[in-house]
Amino acid sequence: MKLLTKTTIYHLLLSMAFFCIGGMISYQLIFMWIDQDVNEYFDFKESKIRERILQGEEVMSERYRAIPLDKPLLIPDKIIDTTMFNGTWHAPYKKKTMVRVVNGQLYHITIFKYFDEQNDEIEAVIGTVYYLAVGFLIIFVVFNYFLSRRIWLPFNHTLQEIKNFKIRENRPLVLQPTNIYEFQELNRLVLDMTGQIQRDYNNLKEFTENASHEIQTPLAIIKVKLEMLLSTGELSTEQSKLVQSAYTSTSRLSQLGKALALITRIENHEFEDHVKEVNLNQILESHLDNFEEIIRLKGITLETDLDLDVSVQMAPLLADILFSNLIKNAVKHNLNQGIISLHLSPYSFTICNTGKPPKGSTDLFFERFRKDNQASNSLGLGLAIVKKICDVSGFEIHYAYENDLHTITIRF
Amino acid sequence: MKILIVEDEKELRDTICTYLENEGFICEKTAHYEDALEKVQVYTYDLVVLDITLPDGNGLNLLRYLKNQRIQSGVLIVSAKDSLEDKLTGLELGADDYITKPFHLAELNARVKSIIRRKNFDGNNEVIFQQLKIDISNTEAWVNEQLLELTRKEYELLIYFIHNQNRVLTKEAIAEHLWGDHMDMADSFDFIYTHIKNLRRKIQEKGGDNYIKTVYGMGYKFAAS
Repeated sequence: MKLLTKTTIYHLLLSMAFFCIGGMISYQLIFMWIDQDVNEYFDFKESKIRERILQGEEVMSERYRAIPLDKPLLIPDKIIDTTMFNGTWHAPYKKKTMVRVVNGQLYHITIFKYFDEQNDEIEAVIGTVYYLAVGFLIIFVVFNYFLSRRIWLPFNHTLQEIKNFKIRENRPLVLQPTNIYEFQELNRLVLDMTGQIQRDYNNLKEFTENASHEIQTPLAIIKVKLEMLLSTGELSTEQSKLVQSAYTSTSRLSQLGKALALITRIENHEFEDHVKEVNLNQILESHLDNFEEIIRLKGITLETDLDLDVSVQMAPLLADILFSNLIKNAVKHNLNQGIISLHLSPYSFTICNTGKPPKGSTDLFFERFRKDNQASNSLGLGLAIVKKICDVSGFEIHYAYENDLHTITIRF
Repeated sequence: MKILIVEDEKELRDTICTYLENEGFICEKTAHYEDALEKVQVYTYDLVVLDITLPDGNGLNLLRYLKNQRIQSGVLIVSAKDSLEDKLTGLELGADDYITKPFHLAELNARVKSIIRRKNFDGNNEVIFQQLKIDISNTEAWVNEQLLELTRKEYELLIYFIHNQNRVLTKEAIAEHLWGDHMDMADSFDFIYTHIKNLRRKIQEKGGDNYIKTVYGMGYKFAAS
């Protein structure tokens, strides 16, 4: 729920309660005043009647009468609502009956008071209160709405800016100046925070780039030196084994560095700007071509069911790495005389291969350094890279082991 | 054949130089952009091995200069950055090839030789090694005038050996040459073994000698019998 809606609802509830209570109180007050008015009228009439009795007049009319009583009758004063037929309709009246002693004689006095005016008054007052309340509420809501929109403008602008904030773009946020203290504070904090994030991000990125870059040169030196050592031809078998081992580890280290640097670059969305339409058929064919002989050497049967001219939006380099890793993986972990089957449609790509059944849970299948055989020489980063590429390209990837087949499905 | 090596890392520069000199090239080396610029203006090189990141300039600018001046030297870019952009820019600017650090010297050597071959023998591109004759423009290999039926990888392997005669080639270097960076080396050793076995057999079937020697624990060596 929007803050504006919420405050408006609370304001409305409060004003409604206020108007209800206010209305009730004014209703009560009006009744009190009317009662007082009626009583004053009756008192005034009573004194008039007394005067007339004292003057010896007979008091008997439509509106009031005083009937002398023969024996004492004690009844309390009473005011009741009644109606009187005035020829056309039954008009509302208040009737006061009382017993009074005037000049030593008991009289039963009845006074009527036409009451319609008072009803009109009540209606008028209640109507006024009602319309005032409704009018006030409408004006209040409309005013509140426009005012709040104006007031929240800088806040909404800040939100929009945060939403559009992209850490890679290296563009500082442009926030609307405001004279509201809270928003000034918010803008200041947001600017500080994004600035800090940006700096940290840049530092980290620079470090990653530098680390992977700088490490490759010394590795290159180690590698060429070892290679030179190997080609001198003067090493004993024992020595060359040592050199070979150091050489292998160096190669491994450099591959590891490259793979991790690649993952970092993918995670930093560095390839997002290079996204374009990529023809998957071409990429698949070139990789199948590259592994063709290995596939044949391993006696693997390759089944392909590829739709023609399938293109997706992604970075070409990532597409290349994605399919190369998937095919390599299917070849590498396959059995001799096994099967690889590929299926490509405009919506998905599926690769199935025979292989040893997975050990344990397959949930961590795409985790880094996740290897069924920890002693194996592979880096264990291939599928982690595949997963990362799918993530940044907006693809869904799924792994299953069914019918003795490892199946990886990617939905574009 | 004269080669200019532009590389700011001294160790690497010297090693590349020594290696290529052993292959029979004449090498000059420099670590600086300005120095390299001066050298290409004064001398003619068949090939420039060019590192992109130099302390006093970008190697790509030197490449631009060479192309603008229509200097015919081949250019092999060496970069520590495994970035596609650099590679594409380099190749678009007219570099002949691109290699990423850390590389195998044998790989560098093979690429240097294939660039020089492309530059110097237009059309007629034959290499003869004892009983072997390789027609590079038609990707065909002959033993004693008989055509060898080689698969693509076997052919690539043979060329790689030809380019690196009398040197021990490690399995890693061969794997990377055949399948690129993407192949984990350990997995491919079996395949290398199979390819080499088949290549050997095919050459010997046509009466050729066994040129590919197994160097125990290290790799393979291609040498005259």
